[in-house]
Amino acid sequence: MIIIGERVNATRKRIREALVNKDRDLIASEIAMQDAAGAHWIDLNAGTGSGTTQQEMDDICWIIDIALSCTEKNLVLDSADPVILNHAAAHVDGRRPWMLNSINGELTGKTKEIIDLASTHQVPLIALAMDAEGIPATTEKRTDICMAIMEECKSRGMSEQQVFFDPLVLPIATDTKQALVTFSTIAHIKKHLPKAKTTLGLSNVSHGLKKRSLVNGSFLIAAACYGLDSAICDPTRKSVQRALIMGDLLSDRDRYCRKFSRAVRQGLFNEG
Amino acid sequence: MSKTDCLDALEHVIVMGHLDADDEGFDGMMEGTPGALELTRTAIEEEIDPQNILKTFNRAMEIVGKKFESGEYLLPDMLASAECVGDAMEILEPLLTEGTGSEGKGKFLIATVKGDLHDIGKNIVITMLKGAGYKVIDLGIDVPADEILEGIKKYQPDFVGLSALLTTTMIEMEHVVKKIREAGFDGITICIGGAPTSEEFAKKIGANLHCKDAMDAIEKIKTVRRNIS
Ligand code: B12
Repeated sequence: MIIIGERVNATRKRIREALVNKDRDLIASEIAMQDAAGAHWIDLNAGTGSGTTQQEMDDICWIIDIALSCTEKNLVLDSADPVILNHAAAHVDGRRPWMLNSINGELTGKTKEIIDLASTHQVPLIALAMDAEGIPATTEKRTDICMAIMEECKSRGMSEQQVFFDPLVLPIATDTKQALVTFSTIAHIKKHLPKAKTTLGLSNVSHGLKKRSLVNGSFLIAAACYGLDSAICDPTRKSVQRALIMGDLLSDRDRYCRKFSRAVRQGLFNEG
Repeated sequence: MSKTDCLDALEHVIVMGHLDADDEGFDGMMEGTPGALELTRTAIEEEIDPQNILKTFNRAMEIVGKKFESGEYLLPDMLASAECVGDAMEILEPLLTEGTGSEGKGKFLIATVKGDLHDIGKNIVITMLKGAGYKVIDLGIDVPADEILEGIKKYQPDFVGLSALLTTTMIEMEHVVKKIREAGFDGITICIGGAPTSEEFAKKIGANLHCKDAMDAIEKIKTVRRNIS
């Protein structure tokens, strides 16, 4: 499972504060702990939701510089605004592999600009299975959106394997079918776009429930068994680490069950 | 690398189940370092006696068995090491069988008995027998007595070899020997082998020979042929 570490996101209060206070050490430690926990990619998002475009451009460059100095891992440039992403990509300037997060099925001019950026540099791109009307409740609609996105990406010079689809998930608290909708969307993408990758954010599934990390972890394990390639998650959490190990174990991604056995030896599955 | 260093390294990677440079090994740290396949090739290039390479395989699997017994290794870890030896044997086999091909010394039918899935030892014996000029018919693993009997009727072998690695399956050997004798195949020499078997056990169940390893097998069946002719 490809792990995308999600902690450096300005929608989180502590990251927002670190941006305001220019708290370099906090950002560095947030990155380093995900690196140590096995993240393959580190997501960097500087969108506070309230600042100006110029502010976000400055902030993401500041975060990129910290990341370049404290980890060897690849970077995910995270914003919905092509201006920010173009600026961030130019700032990385080939010093590290990177990918883009994200576009959706709206396919506006902005979306196309982001696709063009990914295409120009031939880097991976995360695409969400939603459109202007939001997240569809059915597998069919989500799959249709993915097919349309792929068509646009291909017409702009991207290859199938560069697109990471996030099938998305709606809270099961309000519609108990929704985890299954996500699983079957993964299966559909695998079937119709076999070279494309799938990735998934976890927390929405458990919205409105108790024992959320247990729900999220179980959801990840099941998604892995439907062929999920990647998770956007917090790899420093024990519940996530356990689920990643179990997902790989049960989906034929753990040769001789070694990762599982090692995790057991290291005490990951001990009580408490 | 000296010859002993090379064999020590080979033993270590087999114990770690480290097949080749792409494999992570038991501890997850071995990717990019030479594994059982690379080191077997190195050992051959260093002109180490193939018999010594075989002995290294044996030693390594002995250690693996102990680690399994102590609970340090689980079933898949044991399997990983077994696959190292199995694949390394394919590299070694041409050296052990070269310059023969006459197959004129007699027919040898071999099987691991019912209930038992261990075949590394059996396969080594097969390679050595072929190298020594015997024609070998291998019935595989987990073979019921009736199938062995059918094989005997079909191929009319001079020797039947039975392998068992479990104390629970060695009992099956007694059953097989009995069936062979009851069917009237008195002239066939029955050899047994496998870690839990012994000289006494062979005598007790009416098998002709017990072989502690592949070399022992070659030595012992040689004398049998001389007795006959
Ligand atoms: C590898 C291995 C496995 C592998 C086998 C893979 C394979 N393709 O063979 C796997 C993981 C599948 C396995 C499974 C099991 N195994 Co296991 N296994 C071993 C191990 C570590 C090595 C065996 C081996 O390959 N040795 C190396 C070869 C070269 O030596 P060898 O087989 O003795 O053969 C030589 C001689 O004996 C002789 N020889 C052998 N056969 C014959 C036949 C003839 C005709 C002749 C002439 C000579 C001859 O010549 C050979 C070459 O020199 C042993 C430990 C050990 N020390 O033996 C345990 C061991 C045999 N296994 C054991 C156990 C318990 C099991 C399982 C029950 C585990 C489980 N809980 O499921 C299962 C049983 C599966 C089954 N139904 O058979 C125990 C048996 C204990 C007992 N008292 O019965 C052992 C001793 C481990 C231990 N110390 O606990 N195992």
